[in-house]
Amino acid sequence: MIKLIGLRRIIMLAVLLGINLLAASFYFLTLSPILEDAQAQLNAVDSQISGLHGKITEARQDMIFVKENLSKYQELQDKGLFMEQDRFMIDRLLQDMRGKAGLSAFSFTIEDLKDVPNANAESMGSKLVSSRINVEKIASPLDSNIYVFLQNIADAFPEHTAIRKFEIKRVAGVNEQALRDIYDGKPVSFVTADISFDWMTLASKAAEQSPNAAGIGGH
Amino acid sequence: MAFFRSKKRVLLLGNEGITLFGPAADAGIEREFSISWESPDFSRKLTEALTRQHQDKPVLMLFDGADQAYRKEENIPKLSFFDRPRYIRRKLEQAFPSYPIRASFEIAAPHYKGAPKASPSYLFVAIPETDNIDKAAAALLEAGVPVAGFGLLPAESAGLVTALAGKLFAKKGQKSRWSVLIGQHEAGGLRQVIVKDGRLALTRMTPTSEGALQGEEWVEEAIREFKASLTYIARFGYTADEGLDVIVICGDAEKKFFDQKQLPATNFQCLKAAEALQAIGSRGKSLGEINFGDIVHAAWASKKPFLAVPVKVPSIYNVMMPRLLSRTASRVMAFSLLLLVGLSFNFYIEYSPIQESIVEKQSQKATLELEYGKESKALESLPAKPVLVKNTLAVKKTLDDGNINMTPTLNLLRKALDSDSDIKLEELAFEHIPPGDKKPDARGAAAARNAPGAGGNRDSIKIVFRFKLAGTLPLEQKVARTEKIAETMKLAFTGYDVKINSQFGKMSRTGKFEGTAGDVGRAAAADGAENFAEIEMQGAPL
Repeated sequence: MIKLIGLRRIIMLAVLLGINLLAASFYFLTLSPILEDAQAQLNAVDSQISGLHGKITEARQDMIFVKENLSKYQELQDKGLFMEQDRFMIDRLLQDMRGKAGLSAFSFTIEDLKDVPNANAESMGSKLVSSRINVEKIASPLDSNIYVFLQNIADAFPEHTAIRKFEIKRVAGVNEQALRDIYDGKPVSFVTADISFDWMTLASKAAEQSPNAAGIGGH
Repeated sequence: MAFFRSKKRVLLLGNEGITLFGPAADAGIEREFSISWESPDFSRKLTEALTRQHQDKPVLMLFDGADQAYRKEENIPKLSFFDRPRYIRRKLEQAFPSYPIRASFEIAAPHYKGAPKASPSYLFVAIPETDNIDKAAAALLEAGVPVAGFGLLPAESAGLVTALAGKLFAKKGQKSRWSVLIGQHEAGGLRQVIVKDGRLALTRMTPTSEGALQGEEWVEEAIREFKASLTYIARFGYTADEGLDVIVICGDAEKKFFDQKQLPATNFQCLKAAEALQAIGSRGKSLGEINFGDIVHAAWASKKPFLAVPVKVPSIYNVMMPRLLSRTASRVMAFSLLLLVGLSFNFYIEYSPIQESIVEKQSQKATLELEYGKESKALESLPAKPVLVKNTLAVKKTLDDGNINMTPTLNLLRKALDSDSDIKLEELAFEHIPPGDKKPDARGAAAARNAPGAGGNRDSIKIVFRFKLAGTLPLEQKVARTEKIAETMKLAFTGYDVKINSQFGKMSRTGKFEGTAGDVGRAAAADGAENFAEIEMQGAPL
């Protein structure tokens, strides 16, 4: 083989092969990884810069939003949107409202506290809770008293109430007996009504349900 | 000026000996060495000549002996790509059974427009194995020079004849179909290469007597041999009408004698070797006054990138292939080394800006982090976290969207009923039906969805009221009044579904009806029936 190819060429081939191997090793095992690392590092820094830009923009937008809406938030807070729903408090409120509206009597039931699914409430670690309050057999001499009671619900209860059902019925006409009862100072009811409404507030998700949040009823 | 540089050396193997040509320093060709086969120490001297200079240049071997056999094989049947080589090999063996060195070359058939494509023909060539070739191969092996290949001079020079004829006689009227190149070769005899339409038609090598190597004697011998060749080509169909260009490589002395002779040719030109080399774009070095033409063939062959008819001679092939492979491997490795150097250079070109960018961006990142820190502190100083404010307001919006204000609805109802002062409202029911609630009947839900401004699936309200009419009206009028009130409601509550749930006296215009005629009992019957009507409305909140 040496004679066929020549010693000089064999040496040259060997030298070339060696240099090639060295150069290839140097390039693929040293230079190429360095370049890849540098590129990866650059990409990472780029990504971090991009992320920081996004965070700063978001923070500025948040700042503007909070400044613009803080008063609304505080108003809701003051109105009791984050208030715990206490059945005794509801009882007191209803009694108070009856007096203000000049109603003779009514009975009421408060159903168990229910969770209302709401993504926004979830994302701030809270839950939206609701109590259905059924006020029944509202006895009143005039329907206007009942309307006053109805309108007072939104003002008397902390945020937020929603009327679900309302029924008003004339139960008796003005007759001699009724006029005599009025004269004697006895309570007279010409109109009765039933009202159902929900009271909804935001409760802390971590908070245990208060024993006062269970449903009750009263007169 | 030469437009190419001869890079190959050419070893011409003649009948008497060999001649070695090599690239000259001035981009031409020079005769390096010549030796007779019979010379003592032939191999040593040839080896020395091969190693004296241009040792790295590949040596192309051109066989110029008299004992070459040619045969044109036509009418090759149409065969598949795989079958044809086997068929040609078998035909070649049959054509030259006693010649161990054989080769074939495909000649593409001329294609005339509109005519069907003709099958190609083959040129079969063969040479007897001679000791001389083995002696040359041994010298090549010993010298260690690279071998470019082994070819046959006439087959390789067919193009030379056409090129020379084209160059010399292009302006002399109609182009001849036949061309002849005649030249005296140093290690052989008088070589004639005859081509027809650019393809090798005939070749002859005739020995020249010692006393007739130059001068008038050589000219007479050349003319005699040319005329003999004419009789051969006449058998191949040559006629004077087809035209015949004759080119002779000779010296100045021979030129004079040729001019005095009348040759049966269309065009004739006697050229010195230097002139012929110039015509093909080469130049000779130290040619003197010799009339040998083999240098022209060598110059032509040395500039060809590939042989027209490469011949595989085992003794040469065994030397050529390992060297060719080693040369190729060297070139590949040199190229790969260059590539790696280029890649490394590219690395530095790419790496440096990346590093600069990283430094620059790290600094940018630090500035942004500082800025973000300030913004975060400012956010932390707020009395409420943004997420809390955002979500609280979103919850409030959701609650408000789901809430219904009864006041406008009740006001509208009151106004609608006010037009009829005799209506006495007995019962009023108002119900808020959430979107997912299935309690309301389908008509009401559809009305809510189709209400103006309704977004499709939204809340609806249901209002039911029961009333009496003051005074004593006949039942028919009461029923008519109820129907009118329902129509008034439809107009007042646009888009609402309005229906009469119950009529006075439970009446229906199309249903069952009971009554009495005459004075007796008519009023009593009316008093006994239910004296109220009920209307139900359902639709989107106002």
